[in-house]
Amino acid sequence: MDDNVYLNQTDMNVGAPKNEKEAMEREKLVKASLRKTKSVFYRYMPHDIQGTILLTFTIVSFTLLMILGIVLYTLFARRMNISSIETTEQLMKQSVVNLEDYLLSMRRISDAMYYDVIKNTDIAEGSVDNEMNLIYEAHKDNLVSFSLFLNDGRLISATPIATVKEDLDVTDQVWFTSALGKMENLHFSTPHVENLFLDPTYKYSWVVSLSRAVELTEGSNPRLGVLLVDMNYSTIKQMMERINKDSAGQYVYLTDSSGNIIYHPKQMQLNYEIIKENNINEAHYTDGLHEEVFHGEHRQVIVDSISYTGWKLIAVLPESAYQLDIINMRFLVILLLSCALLIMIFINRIISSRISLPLNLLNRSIRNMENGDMYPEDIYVGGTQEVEHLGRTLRHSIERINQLMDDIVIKQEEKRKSEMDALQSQINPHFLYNTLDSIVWMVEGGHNKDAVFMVTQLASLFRISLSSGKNIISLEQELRHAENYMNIQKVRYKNVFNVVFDIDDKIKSYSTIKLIIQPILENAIYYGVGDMDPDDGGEIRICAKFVPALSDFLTISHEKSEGKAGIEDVSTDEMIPEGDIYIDVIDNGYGMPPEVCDNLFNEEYEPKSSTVKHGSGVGLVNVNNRIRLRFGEQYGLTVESEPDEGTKITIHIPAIPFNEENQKILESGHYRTLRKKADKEDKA
Amino acid sequence: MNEDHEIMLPLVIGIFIVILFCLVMLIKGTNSEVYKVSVIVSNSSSGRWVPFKAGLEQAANDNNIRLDYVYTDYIDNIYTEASIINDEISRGANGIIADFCLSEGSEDVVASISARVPIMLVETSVNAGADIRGNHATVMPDNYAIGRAIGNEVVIDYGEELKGMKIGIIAGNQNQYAMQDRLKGFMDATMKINPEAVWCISESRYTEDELIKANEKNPADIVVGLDNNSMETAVDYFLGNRGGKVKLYGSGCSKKLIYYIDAGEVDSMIVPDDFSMGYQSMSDLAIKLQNRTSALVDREVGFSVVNRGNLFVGDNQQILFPIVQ
Repeated sequence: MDDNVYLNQTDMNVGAPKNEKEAMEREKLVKASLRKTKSVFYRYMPHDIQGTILLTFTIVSFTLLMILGIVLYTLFARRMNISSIETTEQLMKQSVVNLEDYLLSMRRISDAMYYDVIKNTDIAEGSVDNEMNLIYEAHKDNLVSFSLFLNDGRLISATPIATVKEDLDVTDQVWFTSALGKMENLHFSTPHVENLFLDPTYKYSWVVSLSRAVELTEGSNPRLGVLLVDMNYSTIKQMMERINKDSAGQYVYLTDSSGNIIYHPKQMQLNYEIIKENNINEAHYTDGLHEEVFHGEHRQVIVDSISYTGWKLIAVLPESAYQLDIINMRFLVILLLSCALLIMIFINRIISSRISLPLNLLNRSIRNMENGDMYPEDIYVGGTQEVEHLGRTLRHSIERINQLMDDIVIKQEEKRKSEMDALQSQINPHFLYNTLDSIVWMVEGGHNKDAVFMVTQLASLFRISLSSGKNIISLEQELRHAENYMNIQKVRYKNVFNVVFDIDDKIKSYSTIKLIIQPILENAIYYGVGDMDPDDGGEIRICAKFVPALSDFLTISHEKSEGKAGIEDVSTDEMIPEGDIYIDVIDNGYGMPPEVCDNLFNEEYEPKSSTVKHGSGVGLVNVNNRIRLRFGEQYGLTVESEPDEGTKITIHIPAIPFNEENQKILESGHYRTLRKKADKEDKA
Repeated sequence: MNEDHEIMLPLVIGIFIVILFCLVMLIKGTNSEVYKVSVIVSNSSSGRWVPFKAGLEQAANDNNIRLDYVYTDYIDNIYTEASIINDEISRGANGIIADFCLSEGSEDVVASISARVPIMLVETSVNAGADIRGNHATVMPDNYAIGRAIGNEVVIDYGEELKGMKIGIIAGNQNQYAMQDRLKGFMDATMKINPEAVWCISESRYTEDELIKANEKNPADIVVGLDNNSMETAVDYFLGNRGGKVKLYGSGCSKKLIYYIDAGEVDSMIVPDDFSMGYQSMSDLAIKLQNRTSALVDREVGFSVVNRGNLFVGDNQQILFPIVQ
């Protein structure tokens, strides 16, 4: 026993972690499925404002329509049921009245025969045949036969006159026994085939027998007899068929008080037990509406009694009778709901679009702003009050930002200008002193012609240097300035080096910052070829060229391959061509070691073997900074140098056609504005 | 906007499909198609078909079938019958119920008809090929049993006296298996006592003439009519006091014959349940038409023995005098 307990405990202990593990795994699975559901939900949920509004409105509309549909459907279904019951009840009432009238007329016939004829006739002396025949003729549509029997079953009289069956014994027939059983009553039988007479036309009629006990007079002796009125069953059948005509599923049938069927629309099927009917139970229902389940089918039953006979008129309304109408109504309700929902979706879409459109437009403006388009006029201002206010505020903000940025540019420009002025103030005195010294020397030596040339060159140099205070000049002027400078320097250095200008004429019409070549030339002379012997063949080469951008380059290459002119077509005065200008200043002087070359633009760098500076000494750094400040980081100077081989300094600037407008924009330091303008024009 | 389309487009498409479906259902309705069934029997207005027709009408009404009960004269030629059936099919009949006048050699006719529409044979079986699709079947009583029941009635009434008696047989249309079976059943039932069958005539247009000739040549004490027509011919001849005093036995269901039972002229009669035959054949055919994959199957209906004593009792009253709605 103890061992068993121990084992069980062990099993439980072993089982516990397993269960725990399983529980954890189950929990994990649940969490994973929840995550998946969430991700699917998130995936299909709209993330924009219009979608959210549309979905929300649609769900609300759908819910409201569903509630409306269910309420309408329930109301209609109930109304249909009530209406159907009311119609059937009315029909039943009318039918009961008709049947009662008919049966009353039959009773009256029986009464007339009994009280007016039989009671006044002595059957020993007279006959009732004539009177019976008269009454029969008057009602023959509803009657099959009329007959009078003695209580021993002997026939006294009958109409229409027909052959009575041989060996006929009526005493064991139900109508006969009923009549004599309860003599005070009139008795209605269930339908049966008349079994009294032989009709040579082979006619057999279904009848409902109305029988009663009658007192006969035979001589002076009262006798008991039975008066039989065989009512034509087809009259009742036709009445009932009229009730059942056009009924969709529901039907009305007639039973006696015990539930024996008098008429049923499917009487033969019932007789052959093809179908079943709850007639025995239903005949015992009280008058009115009843609900029952018969053979698994829910149905409503309306019962009404026919007075005097105890017959029951029973209407059956099976659930299936409404089914077709209910199904059609369901389809109709679904159809209406679907149409309404569709309309609601379209309306919701319009509403959501109206609400979200200004926000979307504002959002688009902000996206453009994020991409760098800081144009206040492009910010959407409109829509509802709130959105309009947002747009206006954003526009003001951008205007303010732009203004601040312009201020920064202006300040930067002022800074550059002051640097420029400082540079110029550094160049001018030293250079002017040397040049004037050379001119003095020429005049003293009688080289008047050379002196005139020098003065002319100097005049041109200063004219360009001044340029009416402009910082932006054409490349043509800048190159002329360089040329003037070199002409002066060549005289000064007694032509110890050569100067070669290799200039592409086309670039002369582009803009440049002034005084960017001269400081480089100055350096080339002082650190390169200035101290060389005349026999060493010192040379300074100035090459300037236009290099189109890659896309233009490809276009140009393509056009060139087709024999068309390339660059001319691209560089027009009206727009900035996609391309750059490269001006190389190459000397074959002493060159520079790599560490000097690499730190040439580092203002804090002090070379170990410091050479005596003949020039300003800050020229290259100044030029590089000016170009980069004006045009951007991608532009400026590049240096290539090899000791004892020479130095190549390349000036890289954007190709901007020189005109008044561009000059004005560049002067104010708004190269970026110019660039955007060009981009916009390209897009347009 | 794209997300919006992603959600709403399937929803809108779904709603359109629902709208279309509802419209179709409302326009077309949920009512099933009404099929037309033509019934072709020989001498269609004969009283013998009254219970059968009542069964047909009830079943047609219950199954929402349009019944076309074709008016015909006496049919004794299978090609004439096939021609009537073909006419009915060409007039749009979706199914056929027919009483074939010929059982042997009707394979082609049955095959030809059942290839187009389902056909339900009544009263008698026929020689037909294999029916894979279940497009034809037979509803009829156990004819051999009917024949035996007639023989048994004779044997019960006469017992050993039957041995010396002469029996004349009007054997119906012996081209039908049904009548052949009845004859065989009758012969088997009376075999033990072995009465003398003095004549046996098959049904034709001239049955009455042949009957007169045969009976005049060799008068019978007992005449047996194996079907309604034979029985009526016998009744007409022998109860018209032309054929002498003979006892009549047989099978039938017409009111004329019932009258003679009621009048005591005929002692007993076998009444096949023709109402059930009509109801069952039409119901089965309706099921076949409403569900093409179902197969028609052979069915057997009952019969009862009626005599003067039980003519108006309970079920017999319903079978003999069907209430036609």
